[in-house]
Amino acid sequence: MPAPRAKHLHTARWIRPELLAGSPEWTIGLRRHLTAVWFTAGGVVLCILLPVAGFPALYVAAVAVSAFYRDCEPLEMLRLPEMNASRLLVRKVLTAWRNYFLLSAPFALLAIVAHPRTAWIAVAWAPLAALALLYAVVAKYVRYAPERTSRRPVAERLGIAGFLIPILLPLSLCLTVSYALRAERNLNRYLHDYD
Amino acid sequence: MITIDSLRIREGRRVVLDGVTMHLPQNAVHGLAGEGRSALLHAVYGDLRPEAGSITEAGHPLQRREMSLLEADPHFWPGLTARDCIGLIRWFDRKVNPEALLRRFPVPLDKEAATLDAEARKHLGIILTLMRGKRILLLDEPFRELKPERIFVMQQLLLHLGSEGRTVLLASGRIAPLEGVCDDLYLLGEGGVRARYEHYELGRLERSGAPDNGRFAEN
Repeated sequence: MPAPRAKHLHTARWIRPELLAGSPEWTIGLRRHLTAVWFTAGGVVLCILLPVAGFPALYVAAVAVSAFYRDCEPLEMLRLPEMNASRLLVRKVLTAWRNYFLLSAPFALLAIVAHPRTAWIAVAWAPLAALALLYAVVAKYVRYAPERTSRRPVAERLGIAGFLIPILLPLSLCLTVSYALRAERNLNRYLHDYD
Repeated sequence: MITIDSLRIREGRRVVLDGVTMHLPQNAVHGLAGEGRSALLHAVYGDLRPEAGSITEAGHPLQRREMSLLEADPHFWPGLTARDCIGLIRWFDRKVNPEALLRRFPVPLDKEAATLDAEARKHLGIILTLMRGKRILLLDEPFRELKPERIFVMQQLLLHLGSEGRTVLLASGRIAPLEGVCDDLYLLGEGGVRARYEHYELGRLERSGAPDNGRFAEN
């Protein structure tokens, strides 16, 4: 009997890393959470029918993407791009932004077409979503250890919550800066040869 | 020439290797057998930091971007198929072509790589290691889990790699598959190099009864 993970893989093999800018996180994340992804897409469409709700729904989806960045990849996969720590982090963040904004672009357009008067919300949505994705990437690489799925520390979970609860947002911003610096230091242990 | 000079590697409290010195000419296949062979490969790759000594090539530290390591037991990120793993390597280097290697080492491409049986995982590991075209190849137990016909294919491939200008370091627990493949063999043990054999001595070494009846201590 196939394991549940293998079943998901069987139904979602059309999701390929080449389509997602060579991102294994997005490939595995979309495959594992395919049902949730379809429900999210449906939910976003329903929200778009309401004025003002479309872009916030897309923003919540960006925060939820942090689930893709929970597991740590094997060391060989981390070294595959042959980049040093800072370049790898930049690449990971740019890939996350690319994938998210490409996948959410049709919904954003739909929201603008459906409610042109609320299009200004996109000005807040884009940078906040980008920040949430940046946080997800750097938070993963702060605690990176090859092939380890560690429980997220409380601070990291508070940081994620901060992107949804406005009062905690300053904490999230501080953690983003702190994690970005520490993530580079942590990755240098594994990638120092690629300077 | 890769020069390993007075290398000491410690794992926890145990000194795995101490005072290991080797001179490994380029464009050749070098065998490693005995206790500490895997640790030595990982030290050359830069995964293990030596407590003392150095590993250099022409006086400069070895660059990891010029090396590729095959793990003794290759493992993959759950959720990715064998095709994905190959696709990811091709994403970062469009020039590589795995077709020839896939013919030699067949792999079910659309199965999850992490759940493949040991033999298929080894095949995939070999493909991923060799397709990147690195100049220095570090192969840990490349014959383990392979069927006899694939061992022959691997031997032919190693001869080809050595003749086309690659430097291959291969660690093996058995001497038999190394005969006719390696230019020389270093026998490790008791923390150092116990002996070095030329390629013409390997057959005799195996027949004369290597330690543990042709098998050397694991790792």
